[in-house]
Amino acid sequence: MPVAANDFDAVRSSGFINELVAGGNLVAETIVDKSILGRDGEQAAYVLEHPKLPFVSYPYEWSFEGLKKAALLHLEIQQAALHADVALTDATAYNIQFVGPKPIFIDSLSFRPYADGEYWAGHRQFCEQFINPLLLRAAAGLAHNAWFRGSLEGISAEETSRVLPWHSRLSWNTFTNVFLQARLQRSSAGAQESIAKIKARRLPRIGFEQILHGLHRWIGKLKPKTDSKTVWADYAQDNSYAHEETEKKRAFVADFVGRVQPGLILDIGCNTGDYSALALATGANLAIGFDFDHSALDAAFRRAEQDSLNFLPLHLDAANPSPNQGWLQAERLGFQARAKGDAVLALALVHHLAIAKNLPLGQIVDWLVSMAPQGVIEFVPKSDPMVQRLLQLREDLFDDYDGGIFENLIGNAARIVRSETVSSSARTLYWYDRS
Amino acid sequence: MGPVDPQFRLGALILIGASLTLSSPAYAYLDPGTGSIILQSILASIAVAIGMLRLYWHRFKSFVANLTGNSQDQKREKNQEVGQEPDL
Repeated sequence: MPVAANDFDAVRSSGFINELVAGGNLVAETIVDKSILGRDGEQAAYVLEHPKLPFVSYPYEWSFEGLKKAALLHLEIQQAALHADVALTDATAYNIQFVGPKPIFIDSLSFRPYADGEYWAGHRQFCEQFINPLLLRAAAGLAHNAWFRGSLEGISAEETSRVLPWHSRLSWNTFTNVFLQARLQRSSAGAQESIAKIKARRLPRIGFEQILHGLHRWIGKLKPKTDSKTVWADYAQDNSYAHEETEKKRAFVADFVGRVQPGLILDIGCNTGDYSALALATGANLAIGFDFDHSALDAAFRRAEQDSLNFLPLHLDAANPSPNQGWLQAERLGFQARAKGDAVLALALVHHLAIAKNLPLGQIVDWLVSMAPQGVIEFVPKSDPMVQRLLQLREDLFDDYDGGIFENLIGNAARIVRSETVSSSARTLYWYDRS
Repeated sequence: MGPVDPQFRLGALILIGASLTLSSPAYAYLDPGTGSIILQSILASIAVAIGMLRLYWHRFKSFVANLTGNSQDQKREKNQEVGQEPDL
């Protein structure tokens, strides 16, 4: 029997896997008949079947709060594993997915028996994929998303040590995990003699436990460094709507969701999640929100946790969504391939793309309509103060940015079920159906 | 290996006791990186050292408490210990 199958049996006989699954921390598994894979199955010791997750996301799309939750789950699983004499083969962030705001571990094959004295093989990977990206934001105020997207295996200690402010060395954990690790890596690189010494060393279990415990306590306290307000975090409280107009908009969305009853609703431009929360309260089963503002995403994530909403807010620059990338450009699917919902909401979004990003109105409509068979799209006219703000410092080149043209474009792409003007500035909501 | 060596030797001394019973190869599915391994040794040494200091500190405190007779509980413990070792 191959090593992996022996490990599989040993870990499962401990009952550890069942405990993780029962706690909702590991994706469930069923051993199924090998014949399900046909000839491929003949080689396999086991064939496992897992329930399908509703949506797949990647660490470069997670908010700071999401990445932090994932890091804590990883450490908790490590701690429980060590307790059960089980070790993890790696510490990749891609082994974690989200069900609503709750992280769940998905690689049930990365467990193997713990050998007394072994090192934490995934420590460096844990630093590169969790700690360093979190520190960028916590210590330097930089969001991890763009960097992580460009560097799929994470951010090295060396790189992180070059961008963190000098005073971050005063934190013991930052000093050791980033600065000292980078230095040790530099000074030991290529020294064959020290490699031999290193291979002979042992990490006592109590030391391993203390490292995990210390990291968990530290990471649990990390907070984004945000000195000033970001553009959109206060948008929900601070926009140009009168209360009554907001109520009209909410009633329209509630009516739409109530009648469509979508399993998965995509909320493009979700901000802090007001309309995702409304959709979940009026009949949607799961909401995936997208926004480019990091503080808004963090607020949305905290709201999802606090109110136990089946809602996951993710980072998206709509003008440059996650591409197909990684090995053979097929390892991590792009946004387009994954963003398929039963319904889509695009509220107060179109003007940002059409005016701030100079994108053609027709393409924006087609893009939104392609995501789900039904949806609600808001058109914000030029007379609205929010659009006026976008035009303040630039020439108005947008002759075809017009309510009538927009309505025609939507009408060409789908059937307009209902439309309603919801503000005195003539903001209009369109419910489309192309099914 | 550079400037951390002395620290490392100190840690290694503390580790000897803990490591006596340990034996296994460090096989890994991914390259853990030398920096990470050395760092883990240092962090573990410190953790073990702090643990030992705590232990000795508690023993020292008990010892002082016994000398001054401040702690009734410890007196009782001490009496029990004496009781368990008759004919000395």
